[in-house]
Amino acid sequence: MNGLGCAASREAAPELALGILDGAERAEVLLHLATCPRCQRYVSELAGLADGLSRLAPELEPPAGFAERIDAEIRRPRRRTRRRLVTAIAATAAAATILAVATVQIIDAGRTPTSVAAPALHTAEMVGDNGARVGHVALSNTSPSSLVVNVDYAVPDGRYALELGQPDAGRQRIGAITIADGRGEWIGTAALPRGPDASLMLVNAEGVAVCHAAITQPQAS
Amino acid sequence: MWSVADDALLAGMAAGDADAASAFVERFQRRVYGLAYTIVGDARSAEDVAQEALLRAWRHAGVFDARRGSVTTWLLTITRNLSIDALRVRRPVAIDPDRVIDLAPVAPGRGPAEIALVRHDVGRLREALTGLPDEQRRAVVLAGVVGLSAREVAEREDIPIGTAKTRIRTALGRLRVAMANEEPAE
Repeated sequence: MNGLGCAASREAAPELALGILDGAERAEVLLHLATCPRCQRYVSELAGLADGLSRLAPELEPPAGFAERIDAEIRRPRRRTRRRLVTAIAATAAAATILAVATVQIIDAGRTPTSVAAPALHTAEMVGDNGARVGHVALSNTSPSSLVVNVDYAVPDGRYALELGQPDAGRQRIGAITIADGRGEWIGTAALPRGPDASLMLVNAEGVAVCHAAITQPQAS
Repeated sequence: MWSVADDALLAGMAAGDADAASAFVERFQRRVYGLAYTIVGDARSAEDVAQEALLRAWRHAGVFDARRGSVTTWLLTITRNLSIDALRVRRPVAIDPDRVIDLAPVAPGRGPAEIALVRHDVGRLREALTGLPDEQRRAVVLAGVVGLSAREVAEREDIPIGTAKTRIRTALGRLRVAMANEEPAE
């Protein structure tokens, strides 16, 4: 797979700005933006419009007592249960499957060739303990490699270390990612470990890897 | 009239100030509930979604990053995501894109300067939207206001996904040009 150039990125820019671009396609555009100030400015302009659009929905008076119920919840001592997470996972499992299929179909639909030289790109699914897809990683064939880590499903909110590792070779921390409202994104660069068994992991405060992606650096084009 | 800035309220919430949270809820509840109702289409679900969105804002106020957009945009994104999640686990509801943009009153409770800015921008944007061909306006409202993906827009409009993407892209491009042309002279 090749990374995107300016033309293809600009085609996808409206969906990115509107917040409706997901999966590997989103990662590819973000990787391009990381190195292209002109496209960054273009997306930024469109994002301003997208902000305006989101304000166009009508304002409506909620039912009586709405604010008071929230107020009571806010002032109640916090207690976290795992039940809510489990319910959310069950309720959205079908949606996640659909999203994953849709993402593959979008990628397979092919793209307009571009004359701009672009790095080869590799994407890998990030999976949780139970094997469910929780996000993905996109990485370039450059050295060091550019990475986009995107988590959008079933990882509890919090701050996680991003670590690269191989069996018997220890782990290397490359950054940290915050998951809020079930979603998180990290963009950066890292020297990828060689070998077929390298993984990128999200590691919680207790040092436990909550999800991982098997990564292999793509061949230079 | 003096009014605490949205960012300041959020900072208060991040510090655990329940009074700031109450003021935040009072300020944004109509906008959040309105967007939720617009997307999910029934009062009970909209109330659930709006309540969860405001509670998440309270819980995650500390991770808000002003460099990545306004408080309103952040909060409406949370609301939109929750609404779409709610929609995906039950039967689809009909959404009339034109009904979505017919009304857009400016929320009370903000500072005068922001009210003027919001009213001006929203008014211009609504005007620019009405100048778009029907099919493009529908596509960009479904994507930009309701938060549907291009694939979901294609399904609802019964068109190929490529056509949906083209309509969204063209519509946003035209809005960009229209808004740039109408930029008032300093």
